[in-house]
Amino acid sequence: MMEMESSKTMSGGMTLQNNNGMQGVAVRLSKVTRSFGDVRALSDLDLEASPGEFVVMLGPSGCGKTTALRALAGLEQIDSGAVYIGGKDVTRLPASKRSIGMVFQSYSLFPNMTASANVEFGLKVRGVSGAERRRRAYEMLEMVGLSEQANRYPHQMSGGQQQRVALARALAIKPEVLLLDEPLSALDAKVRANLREQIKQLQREVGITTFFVTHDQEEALSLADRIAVMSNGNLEQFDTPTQVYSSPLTDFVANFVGTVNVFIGTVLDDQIAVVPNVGNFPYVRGSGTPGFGSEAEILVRPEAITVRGDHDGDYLVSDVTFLGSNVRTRVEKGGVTFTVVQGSADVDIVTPGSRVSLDAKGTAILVRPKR
Amino acid sequence: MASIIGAPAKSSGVEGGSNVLRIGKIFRVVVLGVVGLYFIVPVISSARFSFTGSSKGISLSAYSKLFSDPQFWTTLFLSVKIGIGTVILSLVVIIPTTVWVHWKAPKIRRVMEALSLLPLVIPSVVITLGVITSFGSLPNIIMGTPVILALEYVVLALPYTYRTLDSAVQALDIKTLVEAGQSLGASLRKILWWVLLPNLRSGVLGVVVLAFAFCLGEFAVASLLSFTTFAVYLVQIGQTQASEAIAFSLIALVFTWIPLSIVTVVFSRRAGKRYRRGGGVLVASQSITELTELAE
Repeated sequence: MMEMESSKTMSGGMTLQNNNGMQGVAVRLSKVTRSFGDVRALSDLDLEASPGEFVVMLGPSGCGKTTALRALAGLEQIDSGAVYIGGKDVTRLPASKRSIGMVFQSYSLFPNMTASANVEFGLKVRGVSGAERRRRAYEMLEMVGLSEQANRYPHQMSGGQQQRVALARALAIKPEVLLLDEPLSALDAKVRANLREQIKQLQREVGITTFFVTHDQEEALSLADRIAVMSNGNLEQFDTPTQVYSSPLTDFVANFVGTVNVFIGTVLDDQIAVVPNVGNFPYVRGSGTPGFGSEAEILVRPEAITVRGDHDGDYLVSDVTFLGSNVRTRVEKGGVTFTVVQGSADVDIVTPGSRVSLDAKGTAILVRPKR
Repeated sequence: MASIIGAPAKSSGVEGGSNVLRIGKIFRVVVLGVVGLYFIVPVISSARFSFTGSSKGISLSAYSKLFSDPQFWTTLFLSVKIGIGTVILSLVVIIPTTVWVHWKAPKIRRVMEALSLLPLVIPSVVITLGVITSFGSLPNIIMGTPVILALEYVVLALPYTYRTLDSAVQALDIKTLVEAGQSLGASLRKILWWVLLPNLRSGVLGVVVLAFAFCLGEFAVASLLSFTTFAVYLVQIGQTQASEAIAFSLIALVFTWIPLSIVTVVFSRRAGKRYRRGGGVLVASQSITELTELAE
């Protein structure tokens, strides 16, 4: 991997530049709306990324995340709103005039060109001399660890290698913004995990403002500086992975990101909600939180509870899965399933069919009125 | 219970498979042989007749008569000119159309396909009469010159040319390639020239071959529009001189194959060079196979 000396000095308050010559700039989508017939893909979307930030757009299929990315790239016309890159309004600029690098979900390398020629393409378009193009292409391919595959054609490379070349090609033109549209979804699990790490490392070294679209929550949580969770063309929450996971703002975010258990309990006061026979869960009060003493649904992550072997317990163990460092236990009560995840060393030995009790350990992520 | 995972397959099954393969191979050879004879026997018989005619000895008189006939060369050059014009016009019209349909309007692909087949449904005589009545008032630079014939051949060859290129474009992820090019700052012209056309090589080759072959062999429209093309002259000769007509047909066959072979070799060399550089499989043979299939 090429040494990048990522000094990341802030310049002018809006850009972040490293020694590789790439810049991180602020990016803003302002009240962007886009409809396809009767379907509203984006509904007054407001999204802003700081210079050098890694933003992951997360949501189920059809939530509008790819449309938002394509609107940012200039590949999708928007009905209203504006797109700003580095403070400049680029709403009316075609894709070829915006300073963006893009990696697509499907392998988008040009089949008639070698890896090197693919990386050189954007530079050739810009009229860069042959020698400089080759030098830059080698540098980029070395950065993604593929300098030895420079003369290979796309059909001679694996999917992971092709996506790394696509990444090198996107970065070769020194774009202001890097856009990645589900670049890992066509790869197998192991390659995906490796490439994910590489992308994250590369983004940190290069310091370029990056938007990454995915429907994989694990990918989003591990990559993002901030996650934009989207649903039905709306931005549900835009926050750090920790906040999105531990303090979801809406039901959708709570249910979509991570696993969640829904207990019926009571709001004790402005800090504690109680689940009978489980315990007290600290919570953060929001606008939709029921009043004190009211019955409520208390949403709790699997890590916020523990399992205790108890012959008289309320819960019946339905499944125990050993995951290496963790053990996932599923328990049932009154037809409702609850999931508990504990460290392997901490877990009581329980078997499917045995009765257990649950104990509160962490906080509730959301307390909402009972439905 | 012993595991059967990894156990060798039963030998009877392997033998059965081998028999099926052997029978399949014999069947292929027989079918290819019969089809080959079906094509080659008439050509050999024609060649024999052109050299012997009604006499018993071998003679080149039919060929020498043709080669010394100035109208033979005039009609040949006329057909070649019309063929080149038709090929260029077809490429200019069809390449942007198919790319646009696949990129921007994939929903109308079936409609375009159906439209391209219309010349097969409407008799060429009807189309010709339509052209005469509709474009009769066009300036002399088009109407009354071979240009009108080239324009009409572009339409008449559509069922072959459009579908050939359409299949080639379908094999590419046009939308992603175009968008990838755009994101790298390339204009549509550069994307077409540097990315799409090299990847549509076999389709373009198909269009060239089919359009050119169509022009050299087309008789009805040329005759109706009163042009003495190569095919029209062949019919005229055939009405009076049998052995010369057969010699003419064989020459036509050769003249069709020469340009097509040149085009194939040029395309194949480029592809071969590219793949040799990459250390991959040669596609030259693939192109030749494609060409042969198309020509047949």
